[in-house]
Amino acid sequence: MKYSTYIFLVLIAFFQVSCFEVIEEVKIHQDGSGTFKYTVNFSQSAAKIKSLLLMDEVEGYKVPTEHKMVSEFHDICNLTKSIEGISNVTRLTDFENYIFIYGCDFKKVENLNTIIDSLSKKTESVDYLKTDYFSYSKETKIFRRVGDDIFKEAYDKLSESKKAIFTGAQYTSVYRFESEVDRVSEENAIVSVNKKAVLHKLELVLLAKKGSAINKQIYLK
Amino acid sequence: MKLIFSILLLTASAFTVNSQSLISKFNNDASLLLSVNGGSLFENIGVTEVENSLLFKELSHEMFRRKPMANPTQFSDLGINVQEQFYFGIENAEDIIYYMFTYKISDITKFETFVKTGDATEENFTIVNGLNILSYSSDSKLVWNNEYALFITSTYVGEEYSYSYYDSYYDYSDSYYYDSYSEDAVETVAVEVVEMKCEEGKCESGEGAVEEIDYTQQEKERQEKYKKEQERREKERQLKEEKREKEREEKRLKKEQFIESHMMERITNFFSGNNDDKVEITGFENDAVVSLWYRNVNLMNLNPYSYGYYGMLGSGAYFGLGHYFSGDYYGNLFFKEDQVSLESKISYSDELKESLKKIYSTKLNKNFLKYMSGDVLGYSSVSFSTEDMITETEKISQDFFEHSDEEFSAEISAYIDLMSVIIDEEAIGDLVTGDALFMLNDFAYQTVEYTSYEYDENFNSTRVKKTKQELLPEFTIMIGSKNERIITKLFKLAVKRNLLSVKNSYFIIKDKYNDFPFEMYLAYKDEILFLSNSTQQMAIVNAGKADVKLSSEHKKMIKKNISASYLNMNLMAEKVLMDADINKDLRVLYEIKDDLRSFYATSKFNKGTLESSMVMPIPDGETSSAIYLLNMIDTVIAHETKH
Repeated sequence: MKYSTYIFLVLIAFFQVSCFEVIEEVKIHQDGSGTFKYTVNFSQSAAKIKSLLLMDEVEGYKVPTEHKMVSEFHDICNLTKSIEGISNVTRLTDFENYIFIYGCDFKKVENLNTIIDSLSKKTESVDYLKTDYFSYSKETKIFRRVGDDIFKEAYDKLSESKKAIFTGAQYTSVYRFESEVDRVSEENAIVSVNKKAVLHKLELVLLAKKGSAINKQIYLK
Repeated sequence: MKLIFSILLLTASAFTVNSQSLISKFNNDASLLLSVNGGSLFENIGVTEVENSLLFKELSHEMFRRKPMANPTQFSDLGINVQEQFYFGIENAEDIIYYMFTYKISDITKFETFVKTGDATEENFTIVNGLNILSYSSDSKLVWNNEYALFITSTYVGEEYSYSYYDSYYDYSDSYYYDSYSEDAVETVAVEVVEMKCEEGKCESGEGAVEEIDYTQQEKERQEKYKKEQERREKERQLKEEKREKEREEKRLKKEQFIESHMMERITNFFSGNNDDKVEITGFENDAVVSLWYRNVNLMNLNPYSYGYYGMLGSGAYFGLGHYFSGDYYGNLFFKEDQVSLESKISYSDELKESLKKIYSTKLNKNFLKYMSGDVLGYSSVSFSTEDMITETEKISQDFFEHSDEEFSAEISAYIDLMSVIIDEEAIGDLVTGDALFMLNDFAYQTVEYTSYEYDENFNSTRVKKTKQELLPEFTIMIGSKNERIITKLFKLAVKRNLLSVKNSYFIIKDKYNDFPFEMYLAYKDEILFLSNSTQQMAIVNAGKADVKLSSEHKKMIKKNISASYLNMNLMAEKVLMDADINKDLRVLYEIKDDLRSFYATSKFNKGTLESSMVMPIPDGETSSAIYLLNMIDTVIAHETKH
């Protein structure tokens, strides 16, 4: 995901971070609208982050201050507020536990793609391909999640020691629906007991190397 | 007989002139000089050994990869005499700074082949007065005769030929964006229309009617005038830009001429005979491998924030006082049989010597030693008199500003007088004596809490607290303080305000005020304030002494010096390697930890000079410290290459 580059940039500064998790949660209502929540949790590495934040620079990378991180996060949120279909943008920055959460409501899940494209326009200097990361068809009742390899390029350029940042890091996606789930194309994804949610856990290393590891289609009844 | 003697004398003189030391070629306006003594280095390690090392191969590859020839595999391929001295110096002449690197040539044919291949062309290579000159750019040249070479580069620091991009920017934008005429034009047009309308007898009341009818015409006229004005401004801007370009080009050419002429003058000077204005270097040791001299180390600027606002605190805000607090630095690096050592000295001005003698007259409170365990990983101690530090700083500053003719000297002098009345030096000296010690006690696994998310059967998430074991350093900071009364009051106040909680005979900083991921403890005993995250250390404080006594060697080192530092590198490496999450780069420690020993550093003030020493002993069985160091560097390079 393109906006993962933001997380990536922060991670480079925190290169000694040994463990963290990213959680993507999407809830879709019958009419196609819904809520989105994106959580990045560095709590397991809070001790190391605290010591890193005392430094100006780590291995050539400037360590961002807390103020800078808040400011950047604030800018991202503000950018998304003006996107059509997006409303109720919320953010949480917890510098006690180093947990950062972005949330919003959408009229249709494709609005999330516009968020990603807007962020990419702001940061990427090369041409990018518009990708439908999220899509949902009310008619066919199929929800699609697609990944790409934009993260891979940056990851491949890292030295071995910096790639180690991602060892042990988890990417969890949770999708919730009002209808029951019939089936999921991804065999490692789990359907909840009430059949209204799907959970899929991935090693972030795998996702960094191959964006399509997150691909799945969820068929609703 | 006399004739023979004279001939011999002349020959000897000629020989002396030709093999003159290169150091004498540097002028007295030098601010830095670095010497690498090839002779000393290769006494400790063979030339072949260095040539066969990975370090040599890496450096050869990195430095000469752009050359269209095979990378040198031997020093002799370069035609340079590595058994002699190499010098690097910085000279601060008027309006120009020179950076110079010079060395002796062993084989002129090989040397010329090497430097010219791929770099020399008809345009950039010339021979002037017997000197070969290869110009890499307008301010960078390699010059040589049959005996030695000089690489010289320079930076223009004068004002006359400098170009100010700042001024240029504001001048440029000034004419570009300013556009105040259009309002006048609208106003003029509006007035005309109103008058016209009224004369024709069709004047209607209210400005609204006029605007409604004439708005389009107004707008059209306004746009035409705007267009004409913009064209006029564009032309003006172009002319200004052309003029600026011309000025810039003229300045650039003059600057280049200035640099060229000054560099040639300096080069001629360098390659001529005796230098009457040579820099006097007294502190380079003959058997040192590397020596460094730095003029006027500004002691006030020895902080990392030497730019921007903080830089002003070190220089501008003190109105030149920084130069007062400065000294000449000499450092010599030795590869001795059983250790690598760096010996350095800073010599102070006479005005400072007496003051510094008082400031550094104290020794560390011996109570500190009671609380140091003999199995500590490392420590760093310092001792000076806070009271004398404040008093002497006031005295020196006062003396300086009373004799200074800087703009605000009188005001600052008065301010210092007032402050010296308000500040109670003795009381401050009592509260913070100037004794301090940092100890790295150990690395230990500590239970650390963190937040995570758990999911129920329907994947609803809840935040949960989990724990894990993490390898963290245990450390202690000890600060000397004689004012038990104030310290005790502050502790009581902190407990009252819930900043601290009491545990046994010490205090714990409350989580809310503790940024560290572990508990921090505070205690006061024997005129020492303790801050630590080690429960073992607090037990030592409680008991009044350590179980494992500190060795007499360490005690002596700490007691006899202003500052003393020690690190057991072998033990430290073993501790760090215990970490399962260890950074990949640190895994090289697996391969070198058995070769690591300890590191010691001390400083003392002796007869007006601050003398410092850093020592790294080598393992028993190693024949040479130079070989030991080279082998370790090669191990690291091999590890990096493999991974």
